[in-house]
Amino acid sequence: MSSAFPSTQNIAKQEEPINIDLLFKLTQFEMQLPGFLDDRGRQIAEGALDEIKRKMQAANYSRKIIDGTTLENFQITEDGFLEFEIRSEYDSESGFDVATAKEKGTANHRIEPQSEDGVLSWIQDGRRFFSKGHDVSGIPASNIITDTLLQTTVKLQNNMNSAMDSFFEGVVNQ
Amino acid sequence: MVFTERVRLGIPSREEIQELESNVMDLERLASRSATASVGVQESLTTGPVLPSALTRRRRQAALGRSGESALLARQRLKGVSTSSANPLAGLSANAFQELRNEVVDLKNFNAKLSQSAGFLLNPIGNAQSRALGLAAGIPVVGFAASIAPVIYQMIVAQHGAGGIFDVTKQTLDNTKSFIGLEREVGIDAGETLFLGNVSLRQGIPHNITSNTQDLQDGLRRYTLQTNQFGR
Repeated sequence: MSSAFPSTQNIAKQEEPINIDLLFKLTQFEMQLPGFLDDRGRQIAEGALDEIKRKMQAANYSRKIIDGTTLENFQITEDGFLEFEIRSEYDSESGFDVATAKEKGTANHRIEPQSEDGVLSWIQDGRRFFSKGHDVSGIPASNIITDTLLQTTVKLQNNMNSAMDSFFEGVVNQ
Repeated sequence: MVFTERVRLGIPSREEIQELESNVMDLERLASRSATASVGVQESLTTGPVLPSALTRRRRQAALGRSGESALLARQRLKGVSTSSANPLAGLSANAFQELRNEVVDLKNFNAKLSQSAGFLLNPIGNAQSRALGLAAGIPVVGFAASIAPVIYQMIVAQHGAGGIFDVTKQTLDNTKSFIGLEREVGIDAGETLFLGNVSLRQGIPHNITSNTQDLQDGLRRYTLQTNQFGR
């Protein structure tokens, strides 16, 4: 949010006598608000990210998925929104999207050897098994990111509101 | 592939900030007007005719208002014109009786509180003083400060009088009631406690003895005390 020309200039043009001190404080509030929103908004967003990471840790997510979950595209729009994204990114060596699979789950699917003359091999109950391809069950969706953000959005908004009110009162009542 | 969730939190837009600031300034203007108006009302209610301008202003208001007829009759009375319908109190404002009555009531309440407070102030026992201070809190500060001086004088005299907290006689009486413990009395009789008119003597190893004669005399007395108990 850019505020090159504080709107309090328009108030100062009015003919009725005004409280210069209050006008100065309002100008100060308007000029400092973008910086405050950027700083406090990042704190609140990072708080949401930490909450998501705590839940991932509790759900035995791998460290690579947790470290790959980040805060991105933080911005303050002109039309009055503070936006940010929680991004989770981790692909296996074979290119499988592990982060999305853990979050949204996968359907039952078939696995096959990478080469036509190859076979799949694994050990189960002390016995080795071979396969030219078979169906496996999918990964259940955890929805940790989506659910956490749904649950905490109201709380985040309330924190933002109280922070803005405190900032306004602090500037005007100083 | 990346999984992404987007969050949007509401913050005031530029237009809303301008509206907020405008509202604050309007509110401040209203508060300023209200304060000015209330001061004006307060002055009109509490300020008496201490200035000539206040008198003329009140008279003009009376002439222009509903009490205009009374002002006219008062003017005639001042000129010596006697009419049967003339009210001798017509020159006063419409609320003159109420104002006078309020002043009398205030004065009466003030005196009542002052005497009530003085009664408690004279009693130093218990929490009477705090109660008196509580009563005094309701009294106008200036009037209280001017009127409390004789009360304080009376209070000080009473405190130093008979039965007061600074009564010397009572302290003397207290001293007469004190007594030496029975053990000390027995100790003196038994010679274990040295009790002589000569304050230079003391029990134990002699100190600062400047004369052999004095030392011998002390030793003799101490021997007599410890053996024959005739030292008193």
